[in-house]
Amino acid sequence: MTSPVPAQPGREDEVLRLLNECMDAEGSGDVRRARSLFRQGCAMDAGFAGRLELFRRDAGGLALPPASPDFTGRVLAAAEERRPFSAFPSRRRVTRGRAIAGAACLALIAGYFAVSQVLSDPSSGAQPIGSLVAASRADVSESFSTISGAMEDLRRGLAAPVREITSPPVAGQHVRFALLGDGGVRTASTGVAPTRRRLSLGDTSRYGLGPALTLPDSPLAAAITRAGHAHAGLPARRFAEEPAIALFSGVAGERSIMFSALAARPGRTLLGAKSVPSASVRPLPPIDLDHPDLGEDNRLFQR
Amino acid sequence: MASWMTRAKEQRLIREAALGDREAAGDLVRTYQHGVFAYILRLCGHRELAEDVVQEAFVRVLTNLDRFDPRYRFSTWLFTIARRVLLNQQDKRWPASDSDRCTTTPGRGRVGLTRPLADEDSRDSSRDAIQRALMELSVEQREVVVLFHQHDWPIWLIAEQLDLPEGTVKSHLHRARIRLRALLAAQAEELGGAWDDVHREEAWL
Repeated sequence: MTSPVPAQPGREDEVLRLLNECMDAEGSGDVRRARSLFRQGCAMDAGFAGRLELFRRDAGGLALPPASPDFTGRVLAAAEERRPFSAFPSRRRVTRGRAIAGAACLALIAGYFAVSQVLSDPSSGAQPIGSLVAASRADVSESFSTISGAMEDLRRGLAAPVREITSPPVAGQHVRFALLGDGGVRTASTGVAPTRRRLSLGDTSRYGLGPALTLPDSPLAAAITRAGHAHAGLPARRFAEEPAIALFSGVAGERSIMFSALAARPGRTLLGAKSVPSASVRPLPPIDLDHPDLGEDNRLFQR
Repeated sequence: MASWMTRAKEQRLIREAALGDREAAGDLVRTYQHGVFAYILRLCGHRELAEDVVQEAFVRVLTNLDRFDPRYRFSTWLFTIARRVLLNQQDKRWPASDSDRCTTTPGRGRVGLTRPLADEDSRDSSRDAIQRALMELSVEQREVVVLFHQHDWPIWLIAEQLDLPEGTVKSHLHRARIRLRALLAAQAEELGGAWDDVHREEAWL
């Protein structure tokens, strides 16, 4: 047997709920909902507006910040005691030390793979370390001489294109090239890069690229070894798995220079197997190397 | 209380302070000190304790900036640390065994003050009707109502901060408002109309 619920308390609970919901809505910036709840509340209780105002004033009292002292001096002094600010740079040194240690580890790993590549060459067989070092040096110098030779060939225009690109490739097109030395690759000669001009890629580190080779007096403007990242204007994809020499425009932003030739050399995967080199071309209209606005990041040297 | 700087500037200050830039550290303190002090003072009602807590919280923050996850709001991190420091200090000053002063929230193991004020603190806060009323609320109600109305935190963020469901936060908030109103009305009645016009209203509960 239950006694009937008095109408007044139930109604009062509902009014209180509406008051709270209205405050929630106002606090959350939901004006539409607040208005709707306000109308409901007023329909239920003639004194709703006054009661809501009291709620608002209480909340307003809470929002008033108490007088607060300035903690800056004492906090900095206490922090200094615990860990002096002058000691913070030591954290930087530690960080730098970690970076150096990391670089050393990477160099060690790279050395290991260089040695393993030589060892993986069936013709090399088991060799003493001295021979390995000599072989590595020879490998490196051979690479550069191959590059230089090929560049020279291209410069003379003697390199027979293995593959002729008769029109600029579409954006993002991934083009595979023959080995440098066996032959170069030449795009359709658009006469874009004037001869007797020398273009040097600017801050190549910005793109995570290796050293740039320049060829004065050549339409072949520049070459980059070990392209790690595509040029900013190219699709953001990595070439790390297929190390290559590629020619990129060195001009950041919208403008780009269409090179008249592209060259690539074989890369080696980590397992020592030779891979097909690759490069990408950005098909933008050529620009005049005399253009005054080539971008500050790239240094354009004119003869 | 809103944040007074852009997020980008905040991130820059944090980075610089983490590298030992004293000026940047000072800027961070100056930016957030009033907000965190108001929060802690409202929670504990004890000015001296609040000052100690805020100082300790800032020192901990500044010496651990390298652990800050920039995906989160710095103010939230700071408030969380300040709150932990407060609970630790309260445990030291008023051990949990003192059941008259402390209470443990069932199921959460949190210890908070219900009536922490010493005599001198009562005198200090006697002029602050809101503070006195706040101290009559439960710890959860006090915290929720302060974060919502003093710091404009949304319900979801309060729920995250206090590790409570949003429904529970709303429930605490609603009860806190009603209780606060009743307490302020009673205070107004006690003072016989010598209250300011905010609290001179006729009690309606």
